Amino acid sequence: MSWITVNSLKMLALPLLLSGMLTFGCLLPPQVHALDIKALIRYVEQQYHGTSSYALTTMQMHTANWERTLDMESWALGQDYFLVRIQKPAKERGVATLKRDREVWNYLPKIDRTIKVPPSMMGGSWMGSHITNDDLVKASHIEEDYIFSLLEEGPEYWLVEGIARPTAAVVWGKIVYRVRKQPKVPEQIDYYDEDQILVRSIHFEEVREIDGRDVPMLMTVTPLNKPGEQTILRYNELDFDVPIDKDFFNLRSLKKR
Amino acid sequence: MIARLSSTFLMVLLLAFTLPALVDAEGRWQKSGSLRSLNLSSDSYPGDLAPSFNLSSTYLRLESLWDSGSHWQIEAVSDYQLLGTDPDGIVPLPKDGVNRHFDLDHSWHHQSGWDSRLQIDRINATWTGRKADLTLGRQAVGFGRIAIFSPLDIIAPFAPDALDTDFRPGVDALRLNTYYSLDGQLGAMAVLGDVDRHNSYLVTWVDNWAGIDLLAIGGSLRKRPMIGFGGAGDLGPLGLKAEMAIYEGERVDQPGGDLHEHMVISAVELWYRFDNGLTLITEYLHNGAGENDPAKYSQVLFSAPYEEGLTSLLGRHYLLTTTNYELHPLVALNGLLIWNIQDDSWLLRPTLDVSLADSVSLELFWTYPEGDSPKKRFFFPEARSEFGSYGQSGGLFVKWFF
Repeated sequence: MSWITVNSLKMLALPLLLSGMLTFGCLLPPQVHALDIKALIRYVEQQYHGTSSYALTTMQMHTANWERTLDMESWALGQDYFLVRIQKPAKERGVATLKRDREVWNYLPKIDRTIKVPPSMMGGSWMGSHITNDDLVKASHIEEDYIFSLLEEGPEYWLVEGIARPTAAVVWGKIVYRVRKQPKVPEQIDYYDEDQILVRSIHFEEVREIDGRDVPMLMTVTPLNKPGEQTILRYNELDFDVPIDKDFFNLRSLKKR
Repeated sequence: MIARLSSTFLMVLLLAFTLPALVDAEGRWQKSGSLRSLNLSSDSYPGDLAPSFNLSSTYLRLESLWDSGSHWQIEAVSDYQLLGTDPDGIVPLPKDGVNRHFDLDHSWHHQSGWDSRLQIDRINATWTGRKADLTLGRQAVGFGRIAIFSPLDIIAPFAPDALDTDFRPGVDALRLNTYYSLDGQLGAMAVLGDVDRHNSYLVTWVDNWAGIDLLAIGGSLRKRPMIGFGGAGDLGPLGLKAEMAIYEGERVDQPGGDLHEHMVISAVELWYRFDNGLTLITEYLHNGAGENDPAKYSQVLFSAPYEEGLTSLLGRHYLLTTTNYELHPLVALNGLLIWNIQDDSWLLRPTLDVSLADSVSLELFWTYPEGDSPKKRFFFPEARSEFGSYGQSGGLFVKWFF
């Protein structure tokens, strides 16, 4: 039974992680009315849903005592369709995860085994990273779960606050976005717990224009209760509007090596 | 004879690793491998069934995968195993198995309790078309959705308590899969066995309806007519999977044949992850290839399903549970419990899985069996329970992937 290793179980979070990053990090609309924050969030959702992408990413987890690196190849269509395949390290090479709507499958090529993943298995962090799934799973519903308001506007940025609705089943009590105006990309997102204590920050850097979009190529996640620890996710290659449709995200693609 | 075998083997090995480059230098060629070392120490088995022993098994595996970038893939894998046991030979080297027609395996016996084995574990070519895949050669074949022990994983399944499960042994097969919808898949497979009566001819079907993975398999498994079906879905946050395989017995009541005219192997499995991160997978297994009476376990041991690896359990009714809990991002505590419900014996194996580097891991395990010990009957031990017949064992498994 060792093939159901901790790593194969942790793989479940990957599509959610990357699609979440794209949501937060890459796809702010080109034209934003500063005061209509809800429209901004809605625009983010709607624009992303129609977009396909292909990416090569590297994820590094740092702590004071250890470091792990992971290279991945992924395809996405909106937030509901995602396929990712591990390239490095060799131990996990070829392991793939498919997310389609609310269904998730893992494929372990060394033993030719497909695993259908139940919803409860999608919780928790992934591969020791500092990104939890739960907020990312719910990224596509963030407009429904939070009430947004403009906290502050400077000459170069907006500061947007999202307060969790009392009925929303979410991890974060409050989320604060600092969004740069030119180019229109997020600079930082701060996450607060239910007691309004800041527990995690995500910082975006290295903005590049790709296929007409301004995209931060580097995302650094810092858990504030764990000094010295970070997770860094870097896009090595990113293409938008790649020729894939929903039919690409099937079990056959999952098993392709 | 040995020289001829060795030269044939070396030619195949050479071919496997150079063919991709010869066929098309433009293709993508991945080379990888692993070095793994399993070291185990076991107490003696109750009733003098076996003395205490030590085992060290090291595997060097070299893998090569060439991808044309369009329609073709060629895979070749060689696997070298060095096995040392004390006392000498108490655990033999594994054999090729019933699903391998071609002899691409060679073993050596060295001095002082050391043996080694070199085998081609994969050598196959895959053609991928728009609506079909065809794979010919020695390949990994897996089926089923249940994780711990899948009744539909019938070609080369892992035993639920197997320690070395990183790679599924390759089988000599021709496999065709056709795709008729998003997840709809219809397949046909011929597996060539070591002898004609171990050939298998099967058709498979996989689809996803309303969020449920549906699977079916049918045909002849080593001359046994069989049919199996299963499903995997969700029940709220719970993962729910069910599978059943029905066989008609082959060479029933003959030495080395099946024990029953008909046998059913079926299972239901539940998956759940608690808020504290504990993952729990529990399976009820009905093992129709086993026996209710512990006195008949020895018959199961010499029956065809056990010899072929179709089952590795001796009884009929089991509860199997695995757990996983992350103590640290690099350290996981895993657990395996196999409970033979009828004879009330069980096997517990906690495992500490430590990530030492990106591609290096260490597993520390301890196997604790419990149950009624065998008793002597006319000078011979007779089993009174399945796991009460085993001794405790423990060890470590170091793995480096490159």
